[in-house]
Amino acid sequence: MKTITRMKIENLLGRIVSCRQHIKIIRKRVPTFNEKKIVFDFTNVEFVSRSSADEFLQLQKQFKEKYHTEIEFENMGNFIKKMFNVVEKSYNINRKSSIHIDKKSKRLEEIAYNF
Amino acid sequence: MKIKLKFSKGELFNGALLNVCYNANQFLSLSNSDVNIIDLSDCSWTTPLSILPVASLITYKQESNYIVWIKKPKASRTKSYLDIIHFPKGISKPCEIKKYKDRNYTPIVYFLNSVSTMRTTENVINCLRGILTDKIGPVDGLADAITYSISEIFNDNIREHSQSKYGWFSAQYYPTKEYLDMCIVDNGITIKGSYIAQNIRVKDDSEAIKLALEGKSSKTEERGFGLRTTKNIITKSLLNGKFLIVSGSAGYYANKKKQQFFSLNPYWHGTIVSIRINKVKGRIDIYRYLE
Repeated sequence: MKTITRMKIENLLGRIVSCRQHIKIIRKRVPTFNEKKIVFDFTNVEFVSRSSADEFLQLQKQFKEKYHTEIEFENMGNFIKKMFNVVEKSYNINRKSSIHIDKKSKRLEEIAYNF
Repeated sequence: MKIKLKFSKGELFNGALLNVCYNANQFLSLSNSDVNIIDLSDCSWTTPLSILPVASLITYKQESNYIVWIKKPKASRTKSYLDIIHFPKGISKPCEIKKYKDRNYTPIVYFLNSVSTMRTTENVINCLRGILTDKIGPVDGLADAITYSISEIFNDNIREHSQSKYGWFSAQYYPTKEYLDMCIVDNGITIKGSYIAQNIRVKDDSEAIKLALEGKSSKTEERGFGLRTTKNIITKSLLNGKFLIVSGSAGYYANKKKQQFFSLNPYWHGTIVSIRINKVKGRIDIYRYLE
Protein backbone atom coordinates (compact mmCIF):
# COMPACT_ATOMS: atom_id res chain seq x y z
CA MET A 1 0.00 0.00 0.00
CA LYS A 2 1.33 3.41 -0.94
CA THR A 3 1.67 6.03 1.75
CA ILE A 4 2.14 9.74 2.27
CA THR A 5 5.26 10.71 4.16
CA ARG A 6 5.57 14.13 5.76
CA MET A 7 9.03 15.56 6.51
CA LYS A 8 9.44 18.72 8.53
CA ILE A 9 12.31 20.74 7.11
CA GLU A 10 12.80 22.75 10.31
CA ASN A 11 13.53 19.53 12.20
CA LEU A 12 15.82 18.19 9.51
CA LEU A 13 17.73 21.32 8.49
CA GLY A 14 16.76 24.21 10.75
CA ARG A 15 15.14 27.54 9.96
CA ILE A 16 17.82 28.69 7.54
CA VAL A 17 18.46 26.36 4.62
CA SER A 18 21.43 27.59 2.68
CA CYS A 19 23.68 24.66 1.98
CA ARG A 20 23.26 22.51 -1.12
CA GLN A 21 25.14 19.59 0.44
CA HIS A 22 22.75 19.58 3.36
CA ILE A 23 19.90 18.64 1.07
CA LYS A 24 21.95 15.86 -0.46
CA ILE A 25 22.09 14.39 3.01
CA ILE A 26 18.33 14.47 3.51
CA ARG A 27 17.95 12.94 0.05
CA LYS A 28 19.28 9.74 1.62
CA ARG A 29 16.55 9.84 4.25
CA VAL A 30 13.71 10.19 1.79
CA PRO A 31 11.98 6.83 1.34
CA THR A 32 12.02 5.61 -2.24
CA PHE A 33 9.65 2.63 -2.25
CA ASN A 34 5.86 2.44 -2.06
CA GLU A 35 5.48 6.14 -1.52
CA LYS A 36 2.57 7.85 -3.18
CA LYS A 37 3.57 11.26 -2.00
CA ILE A 38 6.25 12.91 0.08
CA VAL A 39 5.48 16.27 1.65
CA PHE A 40 8.27 18.64 2.65
CA ASP A 41 6.75 20.89 5.28
CA PHE A 42 8.44 24.32 5.46
CA THR A 43 6.61 25.55 8.57
CA ASN A 44 8.88 28.00 10.51
CA VAL A 45 11.59 27.92 7.81
CA GLU A 46 12.68 31.53 7.30
CA PHE A 47 15.08 31.34 4.40
CA VAL A 48 16.00 28.99 1.59
CA SER A 49 18.98 29.91 -0.56
CA ARG A 50 18.89 29.81 -4.33
CA SER A 51 21.16 26.79 -4.50
CA SER A 52 19.10 24.94 -1.88
CA ALA A 53 15.86 25.68 -3.75
CA ASP A 54 17.52 24.30 -6.88
CA GLU A 55 18.48 21.16 -4.97
CA PHE A 56 14.91 20.66 -3.69
CA LEU A 57 13.49 21.06 -7.19
CA GLN A 58 16.04 18.63 -8.64
CA LEU A 59 15.04 16.15 -5.96
CA GLN A 60 11.37 16.59 -6.85
CA LYS A 61 12.10 16.00 -10.54
CA GLN A 62 14.28 12.96 -9.93
CA PHE A 63 11.75 11.28 -7.63
CA LYS A 64 8.98 11.77 -10.13
CA GLU A 65 11.03 10.35 -13.00
CA LYS A 66 12.76 7.56 -11.12
CA TYR A 67 10.23 6.37 -8.52
CA HIS A 68 6.97 7.93 -9.78
CA THR A 69 6.72 9.57 -6.40
CA GLU A 70 5.31 13.06 -6.04
CA ILE A 71 7.18 15.48 -3.79
CA GLU A 72 5.11 18.42 -2.61
CA PHE A 73 6.23 21.56 -0.79
CA GLU A 74 3.86 22.90 1.83
CA ASN A 75 3.59 25.83 4.25
CA MET A 76 6.20 27.93 2.50
CA GLY A 77 6.39 31.60 3.40
CA ASN A 78 6.10 34.14 0.60
CA PHE A 79 9.84 34.68 0.31
CA ILE A 80 10.52 30.98 0.03
CA LYS A 81 7.81 30.58 -2.59
CA LYS A 82 9.40 33.40 -4.57
CA MET A 83 12.80 31.74 -4.41
CA PHE A 84 11.41 28.47 -5.75
CA ASN A 85 9.59 30.35 -8.53
CA VAL A 86 12.77 32.18 -9.52
CA VAL A 87 14.73 28.96 -9.74
CA GLU A 88 12.02 27.12 -11.69
CA LYS A 89 11.82 29.93 -14.23
CA SER A 90 15.60 30.02 -14.61
CA TYR A 91 15.72 26.49 -16.02
CA ASN A 92 14.45 27.76 -19.36
CA ILE A 93 16.51 30.93 -19.57
CA ASN A 94 19.85 31.32 -21.25
CA ARG A 95 22.06 33.50 -19.14
CA LYS A 96 23.76 36.33 -20.94
CA SER A 97 27.02 37.90 -20.01
CA SER A 98 26.93 41.41 -18.65
CA ILE A 99 30.54 41.55 -17.60
CA HIS A 100 33.24 42.97 -19.80
CA ILE A 101 36.92 42.83 -19.04
CA ASP A 102 38.67 46.03 -19.98
CA LYS A 103 41.46 44.98 -22.32
CA LYS A 104 43.70 47.52 -20.62
CA SER A 105 43.24 45.83 -17.25
CA LYS A 106 44.41 48.24 -14.61
CA ARG A 107 46.76 47.63 -11.76
CA LEU A 108 45.34 47.94 -8.26
CA GLU A 109 47.75 50.78 -7.49
CA GLU A 110 46.12 52.88 -10.24
CA ILE A 111 42.57 52.57 -8.99
CA ALA A 112 42.70 51.61 -5.31
CA TYR A 113 41.61 55.07 -4.17
CA ASN A 114 38.62 55.22 -6.52
CA PHE A 115 36.56 52.41 -5.02
CA MET B 1 61.64 37.06 11.71
CA LYS B 2 59.59 40.16 12.36
CA ILE B 3 57.07 41.71 10.03
CA LYS B 4 55.30 45.00 10.48
CA LEU B 5 51.84 45.28 9.03
CA LYS B 6 50.02 48.33 7.66
CA PHE B 7 46.40 49.29 8.15
CA SER B 8 44.40 52.07 6.52
CA LYS B 9 42.80 54.80 8.49
CA GLY B 10 39.78 56.59 7.18
CA GLU B 11 37.67 55.65 4.18
CA LEU B 12 37.42 51.91 4.30
CA PHE B 13 37.58 50.74 0.72
CA ASN B 14 39.96 53.47 -0.37
CA GLY B 15 43.44 52.09 -0.27
CA ALA B 16 42.54 49.27 2.11
CA LEU B 17 43.22 46.64 -0.49
CA LEU B 18 46.73 47.98 -1.10
CA ASN B 19 47.49 47.25 2.54
CA VAL B 20 45.95 43.79 2.26
CA CYS B 21 48.44 43.11 -0.56
CA TYR B 22 51.30 44.67 1.36
CA ASN B 23 50.50 42.57 4.43
CA ALA B 24 50.13 39.37 2.40
CA ASN B 25 53.54 40.07 0.91
CA GLN B 26 55.02 40.44 4.39
CA PHE B 27 53.73 37.01 5.37
CA LEU B 28 55.72 35.46 2.52
CA SER B 29 58.91 36.20 4.41
CA LEU B 30 57.92 34.21 7.51
CA SER B 31 60.03 31.20 8.33
CA ASN B 32 58.95 27.86 9.77
CA SER B 33 62.29 27.42 11.50
CA ASP B 34 62.19 30.69 13.39
CA VAL B 35 60.04 32.61 15.85
CA ASN B 36 57.90 34.97 13.81
CA ILE B 37 56.61 38.22 15.26
CA ILE B 38 53.64 39.91 13.66
CA ASP B 39 53.98 43.53 14.63
CA LEU B 40 50.64 45.32 14.89
CA SER B 41 51.98 48.01 17.22
CA ASP B 42 51.23 50.89 14.83
CA CYS B 43 47.76 49.65 14.04
CA SER B 44 45.26 52.23 15.24
CA TRP B 45 42.31 51.41 13.00
CA THR B 46 41.00 48.21 11.48
CA THR B 47 38.15 47.29 9.20
CA PRO B 48 36.78 43.88 8.21
CA LEU B 49 38.61 44.11 4.89
CA SER B 50 41.91 45.01 6.53
CA ILE B 51 41.90 42.67 9.52
CA LEU B 52 40.23 39.49 8.26
CA PRO B 53 42.86 38.54 5.64
CA VAL B 54 45.56 39.04 8.29
CA ALA B 55 43.63 36.90 10.77
CA SER B 56 43.30 34.14 8.18
CA LEU B 57 47.01 34.24 7.33
CA ILE B 58 48.04 34.05 10.99
CA THR B 59 45.73 31.08 11.58
CA TYR B 60 46.98 29.40 8.43
CA LYS B 61 50.61 29.84 9.46
CA GLN B 62 49.96 28.66 13.02
CA GLU B 63 48.22 25.54 11.73
CA SER B 64 51.20 24.95 9.43
CA ASN B 65 53.40 24.74 12.55
CA TYR B 66 54.89 28.19 12.26
CA ILE B 67 55.64 29.84 15.58
CA VAL B 68 53.80 33.13 15.43
CA TRP B 69 53.72 35.75 18.14
CA ILE B 70 51.56 38.82 17.85
CA LYS B 71 52.78 42.19 19.05
CA LYS B 72 49.56 43.92 19.92
CA PRO B 73 48.65 47.51 18.97
CA LYS B 74 49.91 50.33 21.16
CA ALA B 75 46.55 52.06 20.88
CA SER B 76 44.55 50.64 23.77
CA ARG B 77 41.19 50.95 21.97
CA THR B 78 42.46 48.97 19.01
CA LYS B 79 44.09 46.42 21.25
CA SER B 80 40.91 45.82 23.22
CA TYR B 81 38.86 45.78 20.01
CA LEU B 82 41.04 43.00 18.58
CA ASP B 83 40.63 41.05 21.81
CA ILE B 84 36.86 41.49 21.75
CA ILE B 85 36.53 40.30 18.15
CA HIS B 86 38.68 37.26 19.00
CA PHE B 87 41.51 38.18 16.65
CA PRO B 88 43.07 36.20 15.04
CA LYS B 89 41.41 32.77 15.37
CA GLY B 90 37.81 33.90 15.76
CA ILE B 91 34.89 31.95 17.16
CA SER B 92 32.30 29.66 15.65
CA LYS B 93 29.71 28.85 18.31
CA PRO B 94 26.32 30.52 17.74
CA CYS B 95 25.82 31.00 21.50
CA GLU B 96 29.04 33.05 21.66
CA ILE B 97 28.27 35.02 18.51
CA LYS B 98 24.83 35.97 19.87
CA LYS B 99 26.55 37.95 22.63
CA TYR B 100 27.43 40.59 20.00
CA LYS B 101 23.79 41.45 19.41
CA ASP B 102 24.12 44.92 20.93
CA ARG B 103 27.49 45.80 19.40
CA ASN B 104 28.21 47.50 16.11
CA TYR B 105 30.46 44.66 15.00
CA THR B 106 30.56 40.92 14.89
CA PRO B 107 33.48 38.90 16.16
CA ILE B 108 35.71 37.18 13.66
CA VAL B 109 33.66 34.12 12.82
CA TYR B 110 35.23 31.05 11.32
CA PHE B 111 33.36 28.31 9.51
CA LEU B 112 34.99 24.92 9.46
CA ASN B 113 34.56 23.56 5.99
CA SER B 114 33.38 20.02 6.64
CA VAL B 115 30.17 18.07 6.21
CA SER B 116 29.82 17.52 9.95
CA THR B 117 29.65 21.27 10.65
CA MET B 118 26.97 22.18 8.13
CA ARG B 119 24.23 22.50 10.72
CA THR B 120 26.45 24.74 12.84
CA THR B 121 27.13 26.90 9.81
CA GLU B 122 23.41 27.30 9.21
CA ASN B 123 22.97 28.33 12.85
CA VAL B 124 25.81 30.83 12.58
CA ILE B 125 24.33 32.33 9.42
CA ASN B 126 20.96 32.59 11.20
CA CYS B 127 22.67 34.32 14.09
CA LEU B 128 24.50 36.81 11.84
CA ARG B 129 21.24 37.45 9.99
CA GLY B 130 19.64 38.57 13.24
CA ILE B 131 22.54 40.71 14.45
CA LEU B 132 23.19 42.50 11.14
CA THR B 133 19.56 43.08 10.20
CA ASP B 134 19.01 44.83 13.52
CA LYS B 135 21.85 47.23 12.73
CA ILE B 136 20.76 48.49 9.33
CA GLY B 137 17.08 47.68 9.41
CA PRO B 138 14.62 46.47 10.16
CA VAL B 139 13.33 46.72 6.62
CA ASP B 140 11.27 44.12 4.83
CA GLY B 141 13.52 41.90 2.74
CA LEU B 142 16.78 43.10 4.31
CA ALA B 143 17.32 39.93 6.32
CA ASP B 144 17.01 37.91 3.12
CA ALA B 145 19.53 40.14 1.33
CA ILE B 146 22.07 39.65 4.11
CA THR B 147 21.42 35.94 4.49
CA TYR B 148 21.56 35.43 0.74
CA SER B 149 24.90 37.22 0.41
CA ILE B 150 26.61 35.40 3.26
CA SER B 151 25.20 31.98 2.47
CA GLU B 152 25.82 32.06 -1.28
CA ILE B 153 29.40 33.25 -0.86
CA PHE B 154 30.17 30.85 1.94
CA ASN B 155 28.22 27.77 0.89
CA ASP B 156 28.33 28.08 -2.87
CA ASN B 157 31.87 29.35 -3.21
CA ILE B 158 33.97 28.50 -0.18
CA ARG B 159 32.37 25.24 0.91
CA GLU B 160 31.76 23.72 -2.50
CA HIS B 161 34.68 25.00 -4.53
CA SER B 162 37.54 26.51 -2.58
CA GLN B 163 38.95 23.42 -0.81
CA SER B 164 39.82 25.81 2.02
CA LYS B 165 39.74 24.32 5.50
CA TYR B 166 38.12 27.46 6.89
CA GLY B 167 36.04 30.39 5.80
CA TRP B 168 36.22 33.58 7.84
CA PHE B 169 33.62 36.29 8.29
CA SER B 170 33.68 39.69 9.92
CA ALA B 171 31.34 42.69 9.85
CA GLN B 172 31.28 46.21 11.20
CA TYR B 173 28.45 48.74 11.20
CA TYR B 174 29.35 52.44 11.11
CA PRO B 175 26.41 54.27 12.71
CA THR B 176 27.44 57.82 11.75
CA LYS B 177 28.05 56.85 8.13
CA GLU B 178 25.11 54.46 8.19
CA TYR B 179 26.66 51.59 6.34
CA LEU B 180 27.68 48.04 7.10
CA ASP B 181 30.91 46.44 5.88
CA MET B 182 31.16 42.67 5.62
CA CYS B 183 34.13 40.58 4.58
CA ILE B 184 34.43 36.87 3.80
CA VAL B 185 37.83 35.28 3.26
CA ASP B 186 39.23 31.87 2.42
CA ASN B 187 42.70 30.43 1.85
CA GLY B 188 41.62 28.00 -0.83
CA ILE B 189 42.51 27.19 -4.40
CA THR B 190 41.07 30.45 -5.86
CA ILE B 191 38.25 30.69 -8.39
CA LYS B 192 40.62 29.88 -11.22
CA GLY B 193 41.82 26.82 -9.30
CA SER B 194 38.25 25.60 -8.82
CA TYR B 195 37.61 25.78 -12.58
CA ILE B 196 40.87 23.98 -13.33
CA ALA B 197 39.96 21.30 -10.76
CA GLN B 198 36.88 20.59 -12.90
CA ASN B 199 38.93 20.55 -16.12
CA ILE B 200 37.60 23.89 -17.30
CA ARG B 201 40.29 25.87 -19.10
CA VAL B 202 40.72 29.37 -17.77
CA LYS B 203 43.37 31.76 -19.03
CA ASP B 204 44.00 33.69 -15.82
CA ASP B 205 42.46 34.88 -12.55
CA SER B 206 40.64 37.78 -14.23
CA GLU B 207 38.92 35.45 -16.65
CA ALA B 208 38.02 33.12 -13.77
CA ILE B 209 36.37 35.97 -11.83
CA LYS B 210 34.62 37.06 -15.02
CA LEU B 211 33.24 33.55 -15.58
CA ALA B 212 32.07 33.33 -11.97
CA LEU B 213 30.32 36.69 -12.26
CA GLU B 214 28.71 35.57 -15.50
CA GLY B 215 27.30 32.62 -13.58
CA LYS B 216 29.41 29.84 -15.06
CA SER B 217 29.67 27.08 -12.51
CA SER B 218 32.74 24.94 -12.12
CA LYS B 219 30.38 21.99 -11.64
CA THR B 220 27.24 21.97 -13.79
CA GLU B 221 25.19 24.42 -15.83
CA GLU B 222 22.47 24.46 -13.18
CA ARG B 223 24.82 26.18 -10.78
CA GLY B 224 27.06 29.16 -10.50
CA PHE B 225 24.63 31.96 -9.67
CA GLY B 226 25.98 32.84 -6.22
CA LEU B 227 28.52 35.56 -6.93
CA ARG B 228 26.63 37.04 -9.85
CA THR B 229 23.33 37.40 -8.03
CA THR B 230 24.97 38.58 -4.80
CA LYS B 231 26.82 41.27 -6.72
CA ASN B 232 23.56 42.36 -8.38
CA ILE B 233 21.63 42.49 -5.10
CA ILE B 234 24.36 44.50 -3.39
CA THR B 235 24.99 47.02 -6.17
CA LYS B 236 21.66 47.32 -8.02
CA SER B 237 19.08 47.21 -5.24
CA LEU B 238 18.20 49.97 -2.77
CA LEU B 239 21.18 48.79 -0.73
CA ASN B 240 23.23 50.87 -3.20
CA GLY B 241 26.28 48.99 -2.07
CA LYS B 242 29.82 48.19 -3.12
CA PHE B 243 31.13 44.77 -4.08
CA LEU B 244 34.78 43.79 -4.17
CA ILE B 245 36.29 40.41 -4.95
CA VAL B 246 39.91 39.34 -5.03
CA SER B 247 41.03 35.91 -6.12
CA GLY B 248 44.61 34.95 -6.94
CA SER B 249 46.23 37.84 -8.77
CA ALA B 250 43.07 39.57 -9.93
CA GLY B 251 40.20 41.54 -8.51
CA TYR B 252 36.91 43.11 -9.48
CA TYR B 253 35.07 46.05 -8.01
CA ALA B 254 31.50 47.18 -8.69
CA ASN B 255 29.03 49.74 -7.47
CA LYS B 256 25.80 50.96 -9.05
CA LYS B 257 27.60 53.12 -11.60
CA LYS B 258 30.80 51.34 -12.48
CA GLN B 259 32.69 48.10 -12.50
CA GLN B 260 36.38 47.51 -12.87
CA PHE B 261 38.72 44.54 -13.12
CA PHE B 262 42.25 44.93 -11.86
CA SER B 263 45.42 42.98 -11.27
CA LEU B 264 47.24 42.88 -7.99
CA ASN B 265 50.54 41.86 -6.59
CA PRO B 266 51.23 39.74 -4.61
CA TYR B 267 48.99 36.82 -5.27
CA TRP B 268 46.22 36.16 -2.70
CA HIS B 269 46.09 32.41 -2.02
CA GLY B 270 42.33 32.17 -1.93
CA THR B 271 39.42 34.52 -2.33
CA ILE B 272 38.34 37.67 -0.52
CA VAL B 273 34.87 39.14 -0.89
CA SER B 274 34.14 42.50 0.67
CA ILE B 275 30.70 44.08 0.65
CA ARG B 276 29.36 47.42 1.81
CA ILE B 277 25.64 48.01 2.15
CA ASN B 278 23.95 51.22 3.13
CA LYS B 279 21.21 51.71 5.68
CA VAL B 280 17.94 51.54 3.81
CA LYS B 281 14.43 52.75 4.47
CA GLY B 282 12.57 51.07 1.64
CA ARG B 283 11.69 47.46 1.12
CA ILE B 284 14.37 45.26 -0.47
CA ASP B 285 13.17 42.75 -3.02
CA ILE B 286 16.11 40.43 -3.68
CA TYR B 287 14.02 38.25 -5.94
CA ARG B 288 14.12 40.89 -8.68
CA TYR B 289 17.86 40.29 -8.95
CA LEU B 290 17.85 36.53 -8.93
CA GLU B 291 17.89 34.63 -12.19
